[in-house]
Amino acid sequence: MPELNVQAETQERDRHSHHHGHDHHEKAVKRSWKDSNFYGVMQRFAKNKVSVVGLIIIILLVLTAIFAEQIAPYNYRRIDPAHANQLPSAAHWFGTDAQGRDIFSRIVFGARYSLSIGVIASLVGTLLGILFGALAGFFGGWVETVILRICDIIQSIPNILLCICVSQVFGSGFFATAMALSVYSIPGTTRLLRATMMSVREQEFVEAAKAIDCSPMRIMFKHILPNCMAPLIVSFSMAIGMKIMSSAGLSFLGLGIQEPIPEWGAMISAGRRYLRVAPHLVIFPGLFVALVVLSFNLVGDGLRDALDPKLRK
Amino acid sequence: MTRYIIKRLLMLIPVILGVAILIFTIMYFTPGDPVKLIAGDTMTAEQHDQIAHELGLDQPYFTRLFKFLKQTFIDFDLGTSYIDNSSVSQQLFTRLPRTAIIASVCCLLQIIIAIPLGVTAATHQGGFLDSFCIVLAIIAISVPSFWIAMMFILLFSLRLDWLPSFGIDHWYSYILPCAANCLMGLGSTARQTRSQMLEVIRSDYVVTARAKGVPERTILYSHALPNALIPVITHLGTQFGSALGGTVVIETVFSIPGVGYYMTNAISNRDYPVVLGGVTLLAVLFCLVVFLVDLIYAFIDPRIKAQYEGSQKKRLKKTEKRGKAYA
Repeated sequence: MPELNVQAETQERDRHSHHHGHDHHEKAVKRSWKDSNFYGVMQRFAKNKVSVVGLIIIILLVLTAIFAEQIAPYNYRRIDPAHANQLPSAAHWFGTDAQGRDIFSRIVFGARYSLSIGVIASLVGTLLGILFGALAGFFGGWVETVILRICDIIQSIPNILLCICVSQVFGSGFFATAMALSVYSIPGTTRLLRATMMSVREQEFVEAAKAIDCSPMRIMFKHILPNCMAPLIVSFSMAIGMKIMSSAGLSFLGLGIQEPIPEWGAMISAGRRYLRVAPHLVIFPGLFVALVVLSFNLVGDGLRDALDPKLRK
Repeated sequence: MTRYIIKRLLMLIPVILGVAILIFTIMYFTPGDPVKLIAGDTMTAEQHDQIAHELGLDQPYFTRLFKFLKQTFIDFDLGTSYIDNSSVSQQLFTRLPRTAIIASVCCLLQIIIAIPLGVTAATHQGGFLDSFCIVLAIIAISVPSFWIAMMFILLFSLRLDWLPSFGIDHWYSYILPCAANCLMGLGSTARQTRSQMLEVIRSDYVVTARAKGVPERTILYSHALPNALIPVITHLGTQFGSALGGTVVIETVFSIPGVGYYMTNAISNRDYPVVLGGVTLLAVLFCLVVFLVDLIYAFIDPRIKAQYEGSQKKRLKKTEKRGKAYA
């Protein structure tokens, strides 16, 4: 008698789940892009006014970098010793530097270097971090131990010193600097991904995937990794700002990108000698570094709040 | 507890060895000939080879690596600088206090300013004070320290002539470097304190305390804050550790003869003993700071203690089981 009961119950549940599944399927067909996860995230992001301002500033700066030739009023390389170290005026919005070059034009062109170095360095750092983090999370055991110990080692060296050492190996070009900047963020991303994977791995859908005999590779790339992306996206957007700042710091020390390339940090470094007579040489490029870093941080904050499932209702 | 301490100390050894090997390897692959930088371009090939031989630069990678490791970790000798033949350890120890002053003042300022700021923001979540603190903190982490340092020089040294713009002749010479250096840390610590506080305030035991009618002040300062501060303390410890080597840029702006300044020059001069010795020393200090923070934790936080003891018990059980299985 009890057996029969169980059978009936199972049947009932089966029918129910089948029905439910069917319902779900129908919904999926009608689903518009407005139901997508991406749309929800964007909607939540848009509610955060400050982050939207940050995003707008970034978009404006990217457009500036793309259309630098059209925007810049002067050739950024044109040397004009007769008008050196001029204060801001109607002809030169941000004044001129020690060689009489127009600072506004140099900042406009500098956006290309500063933004792209930030994006490239964070992209390389994040991708390598994902690779190592995924290896650690996937294999576990001694692979994980080795990777984490290497992370310990890299993180015990002060960031900026490691950056300087690595930049000496690669040289002082654009890509060399990007590589040097990417190195120190690899351990952080690795740990972040591994920690996220550890918590995702415990969830029911992974168990379900195992139960229907998905291969470990499939579970890894189709189920676990996509669900670990939220913190990585946030850390990526924050990293861009940090890299732009570190790149400016390296150029300031005379190591990263150097004059005559109009990278913002290099401009600050070159203007340092004239701090007393022409402080605008330092003020304007620095303001732009601060502005772009601030914008990326704001966007990162907004994304984190939008992606955080804890804050969802 | 003693076992925990010993275990943690032993775990530091591979990390420090790893740092030494890593930095040696990086410097090994760095292009640029230290001999040329020491003696200039006007020397014959024999002279070049002789100097290289004296410095041991003509030996293969592993020989040099083992020599370096033996010298550093067994003889405790960091060698002498290629450039001026001064003892590296002596140089580092005269310079370290200057950098340590900046790092400690920054750490102290974070405890005094950033933590109350973060708590204020969290307790006024969504209100004006919260937005004010958040904006302040995010601006602080977004401004490059070397730029704000120059702005301070411009205002306080060049325009107002209140404080010196370089050197370490007086105690007040440290005001501007510390102020410029601590800004970013202030911002990040305040942000972290805020988010930790928010998380803790939402937790069940705080709700229980409220339901019991515990005064809000007691809830905040004796229930929520100690728990919220635990990750903040790690953050501070890591920051202090990395500030010991990470004030390079500030030291350059203010011409402070500290560790960072010394190291940067050594790296561009290919002064291998200085770079290797300096980075190893900094890594040791960093690891020790992190270790001390962890130790403080284990004393403060009973959960961590329990965790450790728990794992020990588990291990005992496992060995027992294994013993049974074999039997």
